Amino acid sequence: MPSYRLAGRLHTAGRAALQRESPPQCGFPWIAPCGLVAAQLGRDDMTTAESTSQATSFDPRQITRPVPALMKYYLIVSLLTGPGFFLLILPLFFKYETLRYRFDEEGISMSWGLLWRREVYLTYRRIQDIHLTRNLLQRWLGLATVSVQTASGSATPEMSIEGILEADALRDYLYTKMRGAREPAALAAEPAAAGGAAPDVPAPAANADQVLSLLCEIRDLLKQRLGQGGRA
Amino acid sequence: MSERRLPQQLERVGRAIYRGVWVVLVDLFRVPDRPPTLPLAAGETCETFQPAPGFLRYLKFQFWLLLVLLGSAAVFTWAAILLAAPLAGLLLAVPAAVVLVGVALLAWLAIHLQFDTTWYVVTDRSLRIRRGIWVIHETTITFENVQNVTVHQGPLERFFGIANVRVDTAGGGGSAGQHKGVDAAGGHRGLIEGISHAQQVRDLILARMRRTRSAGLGDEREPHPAAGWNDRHLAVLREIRDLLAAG
Repeated sequence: MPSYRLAGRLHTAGRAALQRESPPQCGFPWIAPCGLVAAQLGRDDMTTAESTSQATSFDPRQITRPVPALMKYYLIVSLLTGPGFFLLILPLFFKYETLRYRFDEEGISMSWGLLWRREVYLTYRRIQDIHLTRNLLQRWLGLATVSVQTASGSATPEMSIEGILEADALRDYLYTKMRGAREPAALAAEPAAAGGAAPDVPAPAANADQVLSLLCEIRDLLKQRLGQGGRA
Repeated sequence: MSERRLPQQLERVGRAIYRGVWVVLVDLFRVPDRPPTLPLAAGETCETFQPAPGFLRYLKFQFWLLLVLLGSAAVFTWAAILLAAPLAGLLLAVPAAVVLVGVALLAWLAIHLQFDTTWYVVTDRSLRIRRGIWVIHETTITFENVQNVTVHQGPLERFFGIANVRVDTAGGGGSAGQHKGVDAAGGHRGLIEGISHAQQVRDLILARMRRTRSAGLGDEREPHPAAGWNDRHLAVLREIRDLLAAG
């Protein structure tokens, strides 16, 4: 395997594997068929995910439905439970069929359910933490679960967004909408502005501080009046 | 001569096996082979790091401790069986040893994998933690939302020069994930485990927390342009009062 740089000690071998430049070639001949199966399993989904995330910029507002790979995932999950399959597949099928997402300027809405309907709405600014979870099956199918938590009392996430292929892009989009992820200049400037109290305050730029500009206007008008009154 | 070269050969073989495991994990099980990233604003610094080497030694120390305990327990049990029924004891010896060695090797591998798949990304305004092999879990928290920071260190961890930084956000959480903060259920928490510069990371997060004036509960930073008085307003008001008093 010439493509692998090898670090000195045993525990650094993984780091070397992490740092290599080129995508890895399968090192063992016996893995190839399995890898092929894994590739087949998530082939259509993975390629679309990669091409869309690379070609166009990610716009979550266009997301309304989970991808069909989610149904595949639900099917495999329920098959893995064995006899629980018949118990599990129906709710999961209806969840998949009725699942709707809506991403707007302020927040996310997610609704599902056929008989017992549920709609969750949360605003981006109230997001406390974002979790991205991928189990083995989800990785093969190119899926992920993006769990969003607000400051509510429950330990379980308020919203688990499933069936999105561009999960990384979605997660980073949510992150940039979250509190504290933006406006470093405004935050740094705030304490400085509060501290500096000049005796003769110049009128600030328009629309920076409406109260201050209003007060300055009153002061200037008063000066004008007093000046006129003094002269008269 | 061959006696002296044996550990080196063993290490070479071990390294090759580990490399092979990595290839399998990356190719077949789609474990990401690159560290996580965070979208950065202009001029923002970003630090990507993994647990300190002391963490690996700490995990290995725990491993040896457990191995010695379990091994001695197994040997005692085997001796007891051998005394009671010599034939059964002799028959049992080989499979028992195989199981013990197999479990030990797997645990050793798991320790290395845990160490190598744990990543922490800390920027000026947020942190991201990646953990896990079978279920890969990534947590993103902005410091604006952090409620408290805890640094904890046990005596063993102090010996190995490592500490853990725990970051909590608002919101309750049951006992789920309290131990590791790994699973999705145990949200509202980020655990930076086994790092040697815990104090620096804590200071960075605390400095960041002090710069924000909100409570970290989703309240807006700038509520309304006409809300709140500051010293500049007061100065102008005083000027107006003085003008009126003089006039």
